[in-house]
Amino acid sequence: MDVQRQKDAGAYSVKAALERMDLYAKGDPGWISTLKEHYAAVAVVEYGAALMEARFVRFSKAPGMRNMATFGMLDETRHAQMQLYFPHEYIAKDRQFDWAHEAMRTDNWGVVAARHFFDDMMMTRDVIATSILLNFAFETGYTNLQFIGLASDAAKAGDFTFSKLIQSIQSDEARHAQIGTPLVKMMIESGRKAEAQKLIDIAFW
Amino acid sequence: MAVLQRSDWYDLARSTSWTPSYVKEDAIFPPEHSGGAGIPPEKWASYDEPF
Repeated sequence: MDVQRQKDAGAYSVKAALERMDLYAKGDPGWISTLKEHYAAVAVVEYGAALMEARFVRFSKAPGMRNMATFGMLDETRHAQMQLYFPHEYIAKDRQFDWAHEAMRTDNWGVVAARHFFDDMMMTRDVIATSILLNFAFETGYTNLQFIGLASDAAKAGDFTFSKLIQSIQSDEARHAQIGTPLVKMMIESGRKAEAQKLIDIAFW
Repeated sequence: MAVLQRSDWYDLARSTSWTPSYVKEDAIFPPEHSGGAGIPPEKWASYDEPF
């Protein structure tokens, strides 16, 4: 818990320190659009992931997984809150940043695709399938790389607030994303390799 | 009171399953929620998170 508190202290203090930088006025317009897109696609989905982890806490048969999912639930709640709080700073300057909260409620065609994907992966399947789809294939296989690359892009664009935020988030993600890995091993050892492979394929493609 | 190191209590905190006496296993872990069909019950105790 103390480690988590320190992470929050780090991310929020960088934000406070750089608030005067006026990134919105001085930053690359392409980067500002990337920020809007990121928050729109991710903020509320993190909250959905907290609900997903809560399902693992209740319905997983593995005690270790129930414990890790409890912490995963805390992680995802933290991510949802941070990724709503951080774009809030820009709302007064550009109304489009309200998409951090609004996007997943709209019928924008891109959002519909993303919502369909996440609802399918996170909300509609049993604990084992969901963990392999999300924790293993999506979080370990995709976001682990994408968020770190994004942090580097942010630093190049001069947005150190976002860079720090994303790195902080990924340090949690890299931990709870590993919830799915032992499940793949167990499925293979139980003769369910084809099933595990199919789940990974579904998430990845 | 001395505070224990995490390694002293960690395995205990992972030993939280029990054999239900009053209901069947499926009532606590409905297959449509818990999944894992085909994985033998004793395998679940072997789940070992790498971190």
